[in-house]
Amino acid sequence: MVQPMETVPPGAPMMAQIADDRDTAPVVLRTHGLRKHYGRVTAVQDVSIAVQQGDVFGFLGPNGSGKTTTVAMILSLIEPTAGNVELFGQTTRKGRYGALRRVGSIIESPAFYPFLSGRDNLRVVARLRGVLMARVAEALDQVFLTDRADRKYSAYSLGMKQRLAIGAALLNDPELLMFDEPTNGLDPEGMVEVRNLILHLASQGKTIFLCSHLLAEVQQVCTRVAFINRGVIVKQGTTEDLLRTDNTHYLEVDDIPRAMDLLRQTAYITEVRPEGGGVQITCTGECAADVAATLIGAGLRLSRLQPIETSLESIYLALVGADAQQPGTPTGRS
Amino acid sequence: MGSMIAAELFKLRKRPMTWWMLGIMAAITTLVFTVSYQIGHHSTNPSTARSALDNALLPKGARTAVSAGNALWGTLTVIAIAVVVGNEFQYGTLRTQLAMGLRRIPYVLSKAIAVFLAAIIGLVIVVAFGVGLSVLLTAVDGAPMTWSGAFGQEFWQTLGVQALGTATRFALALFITLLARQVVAGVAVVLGYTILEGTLTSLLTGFGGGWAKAVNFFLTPNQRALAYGLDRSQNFNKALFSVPVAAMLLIAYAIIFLIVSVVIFNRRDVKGAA
Repeated sequence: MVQPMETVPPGAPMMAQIADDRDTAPVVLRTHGLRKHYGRVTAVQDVSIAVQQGDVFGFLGPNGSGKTTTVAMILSLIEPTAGNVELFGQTTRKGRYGALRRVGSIIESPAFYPFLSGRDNLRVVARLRGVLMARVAEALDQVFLTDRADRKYSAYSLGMKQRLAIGAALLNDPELLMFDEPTNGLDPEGMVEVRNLILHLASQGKTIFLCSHLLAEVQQVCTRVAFINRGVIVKQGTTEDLLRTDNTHYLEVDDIPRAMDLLRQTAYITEVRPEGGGVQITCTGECAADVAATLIGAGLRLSRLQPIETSLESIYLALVGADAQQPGTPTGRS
Repeated sequence: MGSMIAAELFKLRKRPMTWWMLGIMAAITTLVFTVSYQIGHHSTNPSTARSALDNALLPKGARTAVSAGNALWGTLTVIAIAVVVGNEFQYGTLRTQLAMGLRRIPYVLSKAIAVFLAAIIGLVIVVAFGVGLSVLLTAVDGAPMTWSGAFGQEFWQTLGVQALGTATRFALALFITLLARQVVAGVAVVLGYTILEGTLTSLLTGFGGGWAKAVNFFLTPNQRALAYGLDRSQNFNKALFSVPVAAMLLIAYAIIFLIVSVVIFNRRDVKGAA
């Protein structure tokens, strides 16, 4: 969608580079105890998050967990029952109107006028945003829609609609981008393009708030992540820290009961359990070498010792449990 | 707000609905002039023929153009505002646009101003088209091109009364559409109101006394009060309000509907697409 980028491996160096400046970066978006009730139903409860400049912030949760309600409160579409939103330092509704001009957003699905062409739809957005019309052509080019810009929006495929929405969000060159499921309806190639676009935008210093179910995608692009379930933030932190939390290994030995006894007596191992034909252990830190030395020192024959990669997906499933839907399933309103 | 009005006018220009509405009004105008001209030449009753031909030719043709243009203008304008506002909910564009930091009150007012402005422009085009037809028929008929009295007080009064009456229903349609967040509700309630008002008027007038006076607070009787001016003999209700009071009442209704619309829109949460 933008200039082709080099393939970014998981755990991206770019992510680390972004993370370097993160600690000192100013907070562009902060919510304090955000709460929303619909009658007796609590949609969101005490949501407090902070997004710093340059962050690619992943906001994850199953359908109906309160993601879109939170986004809508941030964007001043829904008035919180309690708590407040601070956007570029603005906390009042009046102040946030100005702050929202520095934000580009896609909320759930793309929304445009079906009777207008893609170009005319962006012209409307440009007029409303007070952006020069020349930016329309640039934005269309950025999302590879120039050759289909004059077709009616109603004739667009879902992927093209999604691209147009991204183009509209980029039209005013925003500092903060809020993307709610930006890869919905895109084919795998399109998803890679969006991922690269997000990384490209992040490398330009843009701050990105990303709601997605595609956890593998989020893991590759996000520097910080918050998990929301039933309207409550259940976990948040840097992607690096979250993935480092569980130091889990799988091992195979000739005498499993003896190995388990031995490992249970080891201080730095917090969990030992049989798994398949071997044993799964969880350590407080990096422990592979020590575990191997302990087992071999005790005369056991260690045939296999491998780390079990922790992913956002496994954290997500552990946190939201039965509420979790299959990753990759398009979301509805939450 | 200027940019929001410009954006709305741009959309209206691009909407097929706008051109369909203009086409319908032009078709009705053409029909009225054609029928009048044909009756004028083929009616066996000389007085009917004379009157019909007068209506088709200048100078009276100008008034006929206004009447023909007005035939559906009010209804189409009400439909237009309901469609324009209701579609923003339906398409989900309302949410996207308000998320850009657009202030809600100017946003909704800009839509109302743009649609009403476009409606007036449409009416002017159709009236001009009707006057053009009258000029053409006058030339074809070999009658003198007399403009004197074509655009007299009655011409402007008819336009003014129609604009004021439509403005009130327009504001009501805006209010209902914003309240229900639907196109259908805005159109249905206003059209339904017109039917209900007719029924209630008949009933209350039948009751007489104080009940009959209540009719004066309805929309149509006040439009009639304006339209007929001092000549109240043509009305079913002899106690209609005076022209200034009727005008004030219609303006007050329009303002009340508009204020309530704006207040509701400004306070309510904006949820997902319908």
